[in-house]
Amino acid sequence: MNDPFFDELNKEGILSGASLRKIKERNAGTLISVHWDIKTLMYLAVLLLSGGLGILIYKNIDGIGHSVILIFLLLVCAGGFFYCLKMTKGFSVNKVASPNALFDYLLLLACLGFMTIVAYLQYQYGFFGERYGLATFIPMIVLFLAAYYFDNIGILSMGITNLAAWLGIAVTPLAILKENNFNNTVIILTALLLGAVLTAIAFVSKHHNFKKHFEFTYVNFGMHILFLAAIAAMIHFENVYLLWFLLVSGLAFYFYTRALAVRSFYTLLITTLYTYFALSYVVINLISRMTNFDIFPVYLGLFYFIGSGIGLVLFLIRTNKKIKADDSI
Amino acid sequence: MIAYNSVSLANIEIKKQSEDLFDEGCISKEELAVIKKKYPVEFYSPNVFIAVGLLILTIIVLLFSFGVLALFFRTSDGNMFGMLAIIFSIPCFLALEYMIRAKKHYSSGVDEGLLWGGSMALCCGISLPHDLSGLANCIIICLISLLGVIRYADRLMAAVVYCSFLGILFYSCVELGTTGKAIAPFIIMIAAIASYFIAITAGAKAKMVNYRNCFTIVEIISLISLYAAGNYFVVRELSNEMFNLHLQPADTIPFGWLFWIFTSIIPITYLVIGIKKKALILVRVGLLLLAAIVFTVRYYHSILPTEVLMTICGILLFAIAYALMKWLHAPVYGFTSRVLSSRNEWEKLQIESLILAETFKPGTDAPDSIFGGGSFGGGGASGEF
Repeated sequence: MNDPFFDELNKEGILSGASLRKIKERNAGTLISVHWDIKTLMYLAVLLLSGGLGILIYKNIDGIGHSVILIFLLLVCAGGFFYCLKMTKGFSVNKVASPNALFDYLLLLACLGFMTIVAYLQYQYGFFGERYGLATFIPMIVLFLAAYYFDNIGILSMGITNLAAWLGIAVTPLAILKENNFNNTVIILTALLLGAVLTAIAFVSKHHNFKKHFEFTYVNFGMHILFLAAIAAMIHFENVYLLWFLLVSGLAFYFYTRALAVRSFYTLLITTLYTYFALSYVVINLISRMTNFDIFPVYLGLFYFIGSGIGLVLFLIRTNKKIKADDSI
Repeated sequence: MIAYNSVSLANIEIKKQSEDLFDEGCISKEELAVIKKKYPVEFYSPNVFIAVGLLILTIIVLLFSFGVLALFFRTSDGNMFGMLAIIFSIPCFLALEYMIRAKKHYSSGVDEGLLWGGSMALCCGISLPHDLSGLANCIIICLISLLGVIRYADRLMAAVVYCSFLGILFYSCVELGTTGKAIAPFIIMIAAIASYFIAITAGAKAKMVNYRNCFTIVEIISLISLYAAGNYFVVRELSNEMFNLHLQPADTIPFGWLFWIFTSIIPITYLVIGIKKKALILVRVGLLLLAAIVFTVRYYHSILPTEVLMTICGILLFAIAYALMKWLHAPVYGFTSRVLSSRNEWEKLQIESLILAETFKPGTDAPDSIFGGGSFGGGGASGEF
């Protein structure tokens, strides 16, 4: 909107003179913020640098240059941590604002460097011997320490994916379905346990006021892992799938209540979609047992999806209103 | 012309601006409330996540409704199937009009789902039974999506209009024979420049306020398509593919030097003009295309091993980004590296953390599971979801 529009508002007595002056000052300056553009550039830089160094080390593993690269990596890692330790305002159980954007990305670079070094030591020298778990466990501990000490949600997410990797599960957003074999009983039970633990940590963080703002990250991972594992269990243990459906319903109830409590549209959507998938699995399973009714079950299935789809649309619209009703602005 | 209530549409911009002003502390909460009351937005536009859910559900409902229709007629005849699709699109558009008029839906997921479902059914219904040429398909898609844009001002559909328009030009050039093929890149570049200027002038007009977002989209893609049409890689590989040139790796194309100039000059031009005119879109597209220069050059000339180039670029980029952040801390030339509005900061942070977790993921295929047993490589469950 341009200045004349606000002049008009001022004449009508809607805008005070002081506000109008502030608006004019602001519009005269027309400052453009490139904050996120620069952050994206830094992120790309870290991506390129860590990727490039990783491949360099791997390719030159027996060559002359590899100790040089290792020393460079060590310097990057040590320099990054040193800078962060110098700049940090110290540990607090509350949110600590990051001093500047450089801080975040140097911390990321240092953590990535550390992970590469550990992986390299294990690959080249068998540093941890047969205890492969340690090669994932140590970076994970460092990531969690760094996340809590320097208050960085990005590093925390990496810590959680490392924790899952240590347990043998891939939980990164794109790999969670692709790379896990959810036909494996051990994996399903481990995932259920991991999801429950993450959700429990989220609960503790919030209610004991220990890094309260980490709650969403924990609950987000926990929620996806729990739902996926429970649905996988329904498909894997097909004889007792209704029992596992009970678990999905329980999860749905818990996360639905939570979505309403913290007014999270995201949680509501995720809960709805997973529950809908599980419910449809049960319905299709029941319908497919009706073998001697000719084409009728197919119609039944199609009409189930049309009816339930419309029903859920109405449900989402209504719940959206319910959550918004409490919204102050 | 436009299906949505145009007063409410115009008020969206006022509402957004006032909220920004409130966030920056320019106006008080009472003033914001009065402005919002005077310029009401009477739309049902749910939260973005809810809209995604509604979109998914609308698509499910539409797909299975078409399933019922197809099952009822149980036809294998192509013409009949096309007719069914065309007939199916009618209730889609009727429902869309109903949702907009009676229920006041606006970017709620439901309206987008119905618009896209109806348009796609219409396109497929016309095109599929007749086995049409590329040119005819592009004309059909362009016309239908143009009607969709005019009536519903859908941004994605504006992109489709533009792309299918380029498609029409491209296929027309192909029809013209050898000369046409040779000048196709230049025709597309001219069309892209023309569209860019039409989009920025039309988008700035007060009459076109409801289509502003559509014009912004066209602006962005016309910049990108101008570059793509002049990019050496795109021109060489596309003409090799489309016109069966059977080029050897060392072969070049006619006027190859000209395309190399376009490849390297255009992004820099965007950046310079963007900074001068303070047009953020030009700057961002320019930055994006700088990367395209590197990829294009690397594809034909291996100057350095990839990993060395990555490391060097990483260090350079980091230094540049850091220098920019310091330099622009106090505003320079109207640009600043500070955050101006605190809104949505929280959400962005969370998305950023997910991107971090995704791109720097740990490997799980190594024997590093504490359970050790079994191989976890296969994606057994992926088919089920």
